Amino acid sequence: MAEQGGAGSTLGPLEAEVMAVLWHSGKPLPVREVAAEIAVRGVLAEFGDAALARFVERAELDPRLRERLRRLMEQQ
Amino acid sequence: MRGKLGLPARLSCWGLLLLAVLAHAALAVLAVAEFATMGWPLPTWFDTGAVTLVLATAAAGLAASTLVAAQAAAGARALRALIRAGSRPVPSFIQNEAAVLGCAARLDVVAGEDAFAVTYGVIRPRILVSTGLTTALTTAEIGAVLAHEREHLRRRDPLRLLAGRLFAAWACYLPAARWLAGRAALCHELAADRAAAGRAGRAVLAGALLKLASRPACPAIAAASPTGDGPRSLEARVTQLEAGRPPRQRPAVSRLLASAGTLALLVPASLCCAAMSQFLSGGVL
Repeated sequence: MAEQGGAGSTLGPLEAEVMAVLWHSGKPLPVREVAAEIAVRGVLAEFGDAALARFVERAELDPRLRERLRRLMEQQ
Repeated sequence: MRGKLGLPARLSCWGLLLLAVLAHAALAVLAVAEFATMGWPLPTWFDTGAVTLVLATAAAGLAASTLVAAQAAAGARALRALIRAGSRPVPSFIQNEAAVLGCAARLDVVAGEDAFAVTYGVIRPRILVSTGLTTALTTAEIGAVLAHEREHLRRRDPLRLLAGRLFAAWACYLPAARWLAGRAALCHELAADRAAAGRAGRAVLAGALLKLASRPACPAIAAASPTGDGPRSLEARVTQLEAGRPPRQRPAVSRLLASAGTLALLVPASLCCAAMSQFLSGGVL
């Protein structure tokens, strides 16, 4: 499967969005579900950060940050 | 784990910022009146430059804050439409968790593989979670996420975020204003994390953060957050979880110097603009 819209991707924005949904799903999806998924993401993107408190933004986690979170998880 | 500023201090800060914006807007109206009465240029080039600076910065602030308000209004409309179209019944285990937290009546679930939880609504805030969240996290982790969002709900954080962004947009010519708005947003997240950790435990909250933040960034949302504050914000939240207290946040010296330089021009210009009003009928000085 293609890269997910990374800087080196040759996909356009919509294609990258479709591929990101399919990649994340891990299974074949009908067009309607892909469209609904993109609509959700589009709304969150349109909102930006003006009046919306999001639990956490997805990001490429720094390995050290990931390790710190893992250590915290183990402190059960 | 507690924040540093008390409620009176925070209210005073917001009051001062609001006063500064109102004063700037009033001076801009005065500047328009001065140009309308005396024409352009004014008697001296200094007066012309000062009054033009006041008017230009206010016009830039008004345009930028109108853009932020329009973006928030459009986002709110789109979100309401999305909820109408994609609303799903709240699963019973989430309903139970929300009932324990006292926010069951203000919780919506929308269909979506993408796992997310947000608090939205400036006047009547509500929590929105996706069906993807229910499959991505354990029940305990969902409890932590709901406790986090409930704190946003209780503090009316969407309204605070909007106020902060509007202020930063108005003062777009001051580099420190954007930092202040970002700091305020991070403080809201840290406060919500303290509530969630107190309720569900640090380990459970860390698990939810790790699972949701590790998912690949969505291109559309990444494009909407050009500042790239996400990773820095997450680092501060992890530091708070480890240390039990919020990390110290300081603006870059260059940002402070640039803001001080701009203010050093704008304050005398504002005084000059106010002084010029003596040439108007009923001038303020």
